Amino acid sequence: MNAATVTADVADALAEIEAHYGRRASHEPDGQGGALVVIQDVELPSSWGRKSASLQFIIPFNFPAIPPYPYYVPQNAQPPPPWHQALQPIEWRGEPMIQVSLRNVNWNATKDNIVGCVMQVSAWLRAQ
Amino acid sequence: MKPCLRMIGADYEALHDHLFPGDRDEHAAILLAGLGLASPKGSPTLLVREVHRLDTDEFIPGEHGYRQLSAAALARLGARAQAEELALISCHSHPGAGERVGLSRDDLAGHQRVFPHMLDIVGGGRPVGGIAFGETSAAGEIWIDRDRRYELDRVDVVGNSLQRLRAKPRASSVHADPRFDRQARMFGAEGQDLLSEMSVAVIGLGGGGSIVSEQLAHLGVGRILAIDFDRVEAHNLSRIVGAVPGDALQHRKKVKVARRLARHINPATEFLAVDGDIADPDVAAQISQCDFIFLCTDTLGSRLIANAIAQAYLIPMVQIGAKVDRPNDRISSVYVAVRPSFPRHGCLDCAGMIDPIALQQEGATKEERAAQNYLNLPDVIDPSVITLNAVAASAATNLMLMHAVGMGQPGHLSHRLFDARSGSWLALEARQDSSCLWCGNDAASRFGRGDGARLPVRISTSPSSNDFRRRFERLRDSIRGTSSAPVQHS
Repeated sequence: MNAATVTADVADALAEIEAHYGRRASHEPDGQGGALVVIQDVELPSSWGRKSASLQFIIPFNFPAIPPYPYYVPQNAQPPPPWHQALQPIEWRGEPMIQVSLRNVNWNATKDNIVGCVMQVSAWLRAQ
Repeated sequence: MKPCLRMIGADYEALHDHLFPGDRDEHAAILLAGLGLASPKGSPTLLVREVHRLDTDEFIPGEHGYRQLSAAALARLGARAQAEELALISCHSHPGAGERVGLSRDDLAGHQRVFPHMLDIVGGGRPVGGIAFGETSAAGEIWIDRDRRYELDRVDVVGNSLQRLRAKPRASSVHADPRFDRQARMFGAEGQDLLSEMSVAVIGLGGGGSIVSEQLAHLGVGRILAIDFDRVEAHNLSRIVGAVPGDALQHRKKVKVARRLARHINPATEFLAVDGDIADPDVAAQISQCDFIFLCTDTLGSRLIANAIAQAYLIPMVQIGAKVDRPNDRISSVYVAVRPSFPRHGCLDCAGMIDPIALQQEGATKEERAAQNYLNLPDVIDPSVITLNAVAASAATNLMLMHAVGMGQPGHLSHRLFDARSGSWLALEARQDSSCLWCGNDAASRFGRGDGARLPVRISTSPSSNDFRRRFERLRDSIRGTSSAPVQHS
């Protein structure tokens, strides 16, 4: 990615994601200095219609002051009804998605990191 | 081009106690400082982030003069300056010097011997310097490189009150302007001079900011940087001072209304009207060059950025607001908030005033907010009344005045709430989180890093950007007269 399209903090976060997820992760700038991140093959619970799906989110330009929120998975991940209240259907970036409304409520900008954020969300999804 | 150094009151008190313990001997310390590379006058500001007091085993008998910094101390702290990307300033006391001090011939010779090497050790094009402190004075020089050195203009100490330490007292000007006669009787011609030298940012020129701007012009503040992208509407006319019905009809920019009023009040005040957004890095850079910041907007995004600038550049700031709570259409409380965010005192993030969840919602689209169940209620238009704005604006401007003219007392920097119905003020204890991203002691904290801090602003669309090295090179070019280093104003 061209370094001038994202802030330095977002570039650092993207490097962390790339180091952890390798080719499963891709990203594109959001035009403000943040980035849209897509992580492929995130494991889903066996009760869902698919074994895995992409997990998508935006790292905002004011990261790390503000952590990513919310997260999205495609609607064809097919969680069984009734859905957890943190899951909401939504059209996002022109695609039918499920918004995963999980917040990193104890986020500490000097101590926490982006990979930890994503791992928490992944673990929550697996546990559904 | 005369650089200045800025440090917080607590650091200066610790430094002063170390330099002047009462033994009438010389003592030394090293300051590591971030850099704000451009002021309205084109001068860099060194921002003290770390104070390293040296013991006698590191401030040793000199080979050429009375005492010198040990090679070990210079190597240790030079390496730290390099690692932390900070400038290095050595300082020592001149016992017996009061309100006048100067670098001695030995001091200057020592700089000649040591600073070329220190520039190499610190690296990255960052300056080094030396300051001699008297009890209430400071004189020094800053080396940009081996060939370029500049006399230090002053040391600004940002505490309850602003202290300006110079090599010698400035000649007291006699203000002939009768407009300022009554107020100068309170804080003196020196205080009036100081106000006329100040550059003050007002972010948001609505109900509160327009009154702040008006009062700054009346006070004779030298330069007002007014930032707002909004236009006057009919519903603003009840509380934007200076706005007339024609402004609403023409949807005139709020900054232009404020400029018109300020020019009528005080043509000597330089008024820079910026039709822009604080999240724009170029606008944030202009704010970072000011001496004081008023935050008069009601968005969390601007609160986050202004607070970050205040802490990264050691600039005193005060945020104001008014709030009328009316659950179920019944007024439950009417209050005014005045929240100073001075460097390491009253940080808005530490005070819990920058809720990341609410900030995320602020930036979300309607569709996203709907998915988050935040659109169950119709859009709520908050009440707003000029009397509430005036209380907040006057309290905040008064705080700036007391700080600037050296009359601020301990306690005047607490966050305060005014209950408009009972007429009572409530002072709140300042909280500080040592791990705060903006004001903390943690290595990751952006406190005092100046242009080296990463502000929470959008990516720059101009080539200036926040890139530290590039901005430093621009400064060096401008000092050498090879670049105009433009500052953009709209």
